[in-house]
Amino acid sequence: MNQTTNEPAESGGPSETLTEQPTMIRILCGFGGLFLLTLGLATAYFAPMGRGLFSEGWGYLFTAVGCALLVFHAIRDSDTEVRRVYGGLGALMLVLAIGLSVAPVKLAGMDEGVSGVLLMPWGALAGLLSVLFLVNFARHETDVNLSAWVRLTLGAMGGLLAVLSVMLGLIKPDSLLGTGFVLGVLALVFLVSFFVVTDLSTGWARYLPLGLGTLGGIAVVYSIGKAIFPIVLFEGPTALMNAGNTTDKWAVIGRLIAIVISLSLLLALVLKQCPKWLRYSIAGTGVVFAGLFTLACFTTLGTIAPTPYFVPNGLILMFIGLAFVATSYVIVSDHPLAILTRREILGLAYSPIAYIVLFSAAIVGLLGHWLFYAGMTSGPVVPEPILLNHLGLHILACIMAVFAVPAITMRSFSEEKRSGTLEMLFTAPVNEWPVVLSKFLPAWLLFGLLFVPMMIYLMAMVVVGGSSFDQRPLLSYFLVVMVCGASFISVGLFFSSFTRNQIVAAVMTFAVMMFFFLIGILSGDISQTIKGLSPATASGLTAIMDRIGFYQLWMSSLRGQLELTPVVFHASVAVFFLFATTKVLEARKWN
Amino acid sequence: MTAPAILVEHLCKNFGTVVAVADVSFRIESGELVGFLGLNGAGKSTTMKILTTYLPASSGRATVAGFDVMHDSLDVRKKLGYLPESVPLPPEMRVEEYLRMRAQLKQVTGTDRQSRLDYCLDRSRTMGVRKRIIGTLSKGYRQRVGLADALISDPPVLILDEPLSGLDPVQQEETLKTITELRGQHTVLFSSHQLSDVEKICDRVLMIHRGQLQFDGTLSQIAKRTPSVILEVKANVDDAKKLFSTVEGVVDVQSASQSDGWQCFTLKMTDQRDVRESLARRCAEKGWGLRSLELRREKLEDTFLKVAYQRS
Repeated sequence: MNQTTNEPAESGGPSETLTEQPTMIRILCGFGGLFLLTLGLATAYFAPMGRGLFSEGWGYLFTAVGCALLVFHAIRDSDTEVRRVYGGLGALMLVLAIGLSVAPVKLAGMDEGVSGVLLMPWGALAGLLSVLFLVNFARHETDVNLSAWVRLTLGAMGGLLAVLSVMLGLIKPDSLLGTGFVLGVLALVFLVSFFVVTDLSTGWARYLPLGLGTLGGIAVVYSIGKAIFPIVLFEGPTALMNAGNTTDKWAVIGRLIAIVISLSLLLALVLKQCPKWLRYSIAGTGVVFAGLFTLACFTTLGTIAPTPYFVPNGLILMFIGLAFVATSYVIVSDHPLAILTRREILGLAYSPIAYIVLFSAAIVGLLGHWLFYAGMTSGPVVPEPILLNHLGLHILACIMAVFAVPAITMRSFSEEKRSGTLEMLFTAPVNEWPVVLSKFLPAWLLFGLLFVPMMIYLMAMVVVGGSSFDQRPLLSYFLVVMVCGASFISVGLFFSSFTRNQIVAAVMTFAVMMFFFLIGILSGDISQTIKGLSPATASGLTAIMDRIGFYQLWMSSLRGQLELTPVVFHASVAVFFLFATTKVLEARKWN
Repeated sequence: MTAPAILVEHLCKNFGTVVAVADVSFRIESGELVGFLGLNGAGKSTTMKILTTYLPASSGRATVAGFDVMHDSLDVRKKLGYLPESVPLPPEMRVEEYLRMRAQLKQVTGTDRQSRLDYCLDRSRTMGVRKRIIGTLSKGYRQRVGLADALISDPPVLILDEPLSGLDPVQQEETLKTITELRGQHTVLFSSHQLSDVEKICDRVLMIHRGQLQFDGTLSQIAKRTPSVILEVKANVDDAKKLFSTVEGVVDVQSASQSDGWQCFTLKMTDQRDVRESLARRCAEKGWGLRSLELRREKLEDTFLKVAYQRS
């Protein structure tokens, strides 16, 4: 009989299978990365001694670029020897990360060694690199046992870090800004990598997302409860009184609304598709919250005024918790939106564009931070909010957004249209809106990640440098940035859904981004240039342009202001263009 | 009475001024294995895309498993497995990852999923490449992964657009075997240019030409079509014609002279009877030379060529 009939590809002839030939990647990324890494490490080591061609800063830059190239090589090259070398490197990095984070180290100016001082940034960076190498090893490895061990390591590390970060948040809230946050982010990175390479339908692995979600839920409930109730209970019935000891009508109405909202959590009991324990937990939380609100109307508990908790500690814990809950939902759910979002995130993780964009963001952030730091330390004392002087947060961030958004969105629908995978998608039982949202959410997430390097530099300044500043404007800044990001990304998706040519999509998106950017920067000049306008009309026109363009909006948010009108405008732009995108996709069905 | 697996009534599709499908109607009962034939650009793929709800019809109606493709599009897609002609697959995913994602998308739930996945990998003979990255697979393997994807939700209706294209002869043979095995469990509509293969496995054939359905029948119907007799005789043309037309069952006699002086006659029959013996006897009685005598039954290929050369 013919031997080839049921044989796997490995035994087939050359016409039957193509070999994976990542030659270019091996040369460019593998060797190039290794060269830069060596050069960078050597420079970073020798430059402080006054030797070598480059300064120490260049050394760090070379090291970073070298690592990025090596990671990209590890993603693309699945050759046995290559993948095992990177797997070994990943394991080494993990040991290094744990060592750096746990070992007691005595820094200059310290009386005795303290463990954990090197977590930021070295331990965290080594941990991040180890995940990136290990996950690609687990994905490429054909030896079942070996890849199972790596998966186990990733899952166990992720679980451990997740528990640790939430515990830290509960026990030592002050460590959340810094250690707790970093641990939480690392936990997510480890767990997401674990979920990417693991079949979650069987075995112990399927309980992990549930555990993560529960942990996140506890963190969210705790942070909200801790932010509200100590203050409410301390104030007691006085909070409902006016200065003249009469009942404040509006305060009472507010309290009633809070109680009703808490009780509305009881509606969770009706959700049939949720597991029983989840329904009862949500309902129970609602009852407890309502009870505490009611109790506070009649009595006062505690004698010492509670310290403000929500900003920033409670907020960070809530953010970590929400991220855990969202991740576990995206992982366990069988809803088309979750399935497609998983696929999109995977697609982003394996495409170079996400790395290029993130890397550029890190460079832009570094530049902005360096300018900011230099200005702060050399010039005269600047009054708060000092973040207004952070070029990396306004003008540079605006320019970054103008270039990054087309790069992030151009691929989304154009590529699927060109390759025909859209046809596969729409011949499965899937509607248009989960498809659009599944493109939107990861792109939006990536847009948000662009600002993470900037935040890490700022956090490092606070934690390592010991300088403190008013962090609250960051809250309004992030809210505004994310709302604007939603509108930009949705515009990009809309153009991408029009054409099968990525370049056309990118150029059209870029044009709109430029319009948004320039109209904000040049609003005053434009209304002055137009002749024959009354001063009132001119200022009105300027105001309109300021609200459409995002530059002024981001500036005012750095002052700590949150202007409702432009935020609502950008949110509605997002909703409108997402809706329009679903209609463009549906249009193939129109006659 | 149960609804037919596929019902198409007066289906039309225009792309601007170009008419891709013009008034096509047919009906496929469940469990049938139907071949869909036509030249390139005849409207096969368009008809299939309409059935999969990817394209709308300009007019007419089509139902799959009783659901209207225009109005109950989601229900139709739940009942369908579709293998497009070019088999577009995401190049960065692994075969198993991709099929698992498709299984989830097609609502193959929990405990069934893994066993269904293994079954489909086995059926499409992709077990050996389950861990490979799709971008590195050859055309033949992509085709098989596409077939596994079409089968993954165990759909009652399968629509396969040229499942044999790009395969080597061994793979074609294997794929044909797989499709034959699916008969009975699934209703299969598949298009192909390999007439001999279609003839081998199909119960029934639809032929479409320039957007119009030209033939819809079973292979036995084609075989039952009236045969013709072809004979080569050395004789006077008029005499021979006169003689042959008196034979019972012969309705039409056509002749063509050959270069060596012999005459080739084609006799059209009214029924299935075999007149070769009586023809030979009559030729012998007349003393004419007879060097070939053949009863030719119509084959799929003849029907196809007849359809294809019509009006062209």
